[in-house]
Amino acid sequence: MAATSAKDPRQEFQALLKDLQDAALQVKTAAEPLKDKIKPSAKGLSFLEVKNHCMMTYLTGLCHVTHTKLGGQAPTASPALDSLLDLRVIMEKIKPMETKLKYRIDKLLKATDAAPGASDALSFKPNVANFDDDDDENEGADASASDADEEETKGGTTSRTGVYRPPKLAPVHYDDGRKADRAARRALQSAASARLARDLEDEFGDAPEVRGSDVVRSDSAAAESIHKHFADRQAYEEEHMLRVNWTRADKKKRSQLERVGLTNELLNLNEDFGGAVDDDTADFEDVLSYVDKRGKKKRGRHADDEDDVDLVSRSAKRGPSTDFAQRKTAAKRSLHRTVGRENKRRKSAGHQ
Amino acid sequence: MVVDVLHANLANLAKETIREKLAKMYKVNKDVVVVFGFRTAFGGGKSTGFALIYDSVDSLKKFEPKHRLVRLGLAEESKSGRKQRKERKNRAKKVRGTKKAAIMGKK
Repeated sequence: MAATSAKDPRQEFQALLKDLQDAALQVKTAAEPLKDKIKPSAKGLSFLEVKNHCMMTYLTGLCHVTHTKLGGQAPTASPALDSLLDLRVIMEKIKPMETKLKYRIDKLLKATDAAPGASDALSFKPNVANFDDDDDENEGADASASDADEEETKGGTTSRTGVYRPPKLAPVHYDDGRKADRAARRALQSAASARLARDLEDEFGDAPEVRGSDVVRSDSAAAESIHKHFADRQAYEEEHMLRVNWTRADKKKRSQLERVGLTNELLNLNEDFGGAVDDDTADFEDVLSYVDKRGKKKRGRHADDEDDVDLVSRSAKRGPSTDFAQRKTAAKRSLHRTVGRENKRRKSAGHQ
Repeated sequence: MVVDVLHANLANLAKETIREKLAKMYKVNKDVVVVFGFRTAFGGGKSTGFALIYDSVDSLKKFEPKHRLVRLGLAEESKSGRKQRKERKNRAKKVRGTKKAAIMGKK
C-alpha cells in the first residue's frame, strides 16, 4: 500500500511534466507564425508596443525565476528579480493610461476596419458632441460609440440602462428685475424730497402753504418729519394728560436734528457765530472761542423761534389721526392682548 | 389743563409754588389743586405740565390715583413691598368671599 501511495504522486508528477512539455510544444508551433506577423511598425501606437514588450520581458523574467526555484535556490537569488520589479511598476502605471486611451484606440481600430481610403487625419479629431450631453446637437458625423449607448433628450440623457442623467448646468444668478425697480423707485422718492424739488414745489405748486405755530418749516423733509413726530408726541401727551417716556428712537431723532444736513445754516447763523450776528457788540474773541469749541453740538432752536410770536398757542385738537397716537394705541392694544393671552395660558396651565 | 411756566434764569419751579400760583389765579383753595408731569423745555426758561382743579377735597380723594395722593400727603403708601403685596393677592385668589378680607386685612 505504501509503495502504491508513494508511486502515485511520482506518476502524477511524471504525467504533469509530460503535459507541460506538450503544452510548451504547442505554444511554440502556434507562436512561430505570429513572429512573422508582428513587426514593429512606425504607424502603430508606440504605447501598445511598450506594453507588449514589457509583458514579454516580464514573462521571460518570470521563467527565469521559476527555473531558479526549481533548481532549489531561493527565488530571491535570481538576478532577474530587479528587472521584474521595474517591469511590474511600469505595467501598473500603464493600466490607467490605457483606460484613458481606450477611446482613441477603439476609434483607430474602427478606422482600420472600415476602409483605408476613408481614413484621413481629420477623422481622428475629438468628438465635440460628447462634451455636452444635454444639447441635442447632431454634429460630429463621425459619431462615436457613446451615441449608440445613450439617447439624448432635451435637457437630459437617458443612458442605455435607463438611468436618467440630468444635464450638468452651472448655476447662474437670476435677476427678476425687482431689485432694480426698487432702487429706481427709491431714487425717485429721494429726488422728489430733495431740497430743490421741494423749493420748486413751494413756488410753483398748487398745494396751499402750511403755516402754524408748531409746524416748523425747514429745508429738508427729514427734519420736517422729525419735527412733526415730536409735535405729534406733544399733542398726544397734552390730550391724554400724561407723559410718554423717551425711547431710543426718539433720542436718536433728537440727535439727528442737530446734524449738518438737517439744520438750516442761514436760519441758525446766530448759533454758528456765537450770537455775534444778533448782537453787534459781540467780541471777535468770543466768536473765535466759539469756533474753537465747535466740537460741541448745538441744537436747532427751530420751534423756539416761532414761540416768540405765539406763546401759549396749541394747534387744534388732533384726535387719533396723528401717527404717534395711532402707534401708541396700537402698541397698547397689542400689549393688552399679549398680557391677556399670557394670563389665560397661565390660568389654564394652573388649573391643570 | 396744560400749564406753561416761564421762569427765565431759574431752574424749574417747585410744584408747591405752582400750586399756590394756580390757586391764586383761579381763586380756589390750594388743597384742591393737583399738579404733575412738569418737563422743562430744552434750553431752559420754560416748563410745561398738567394741572387739575377739583371741586372739593373729597372728589379729589375719589378720583386721583394713589401715587398722586401720596405726593399730596392725603394717603399713605403701603409699607409692604411689591413682592409681598402680590403674594398676598395670590393667596387671596385661592379663597372665595368674605375670607378674602381676613387675608387682605393683614397689611
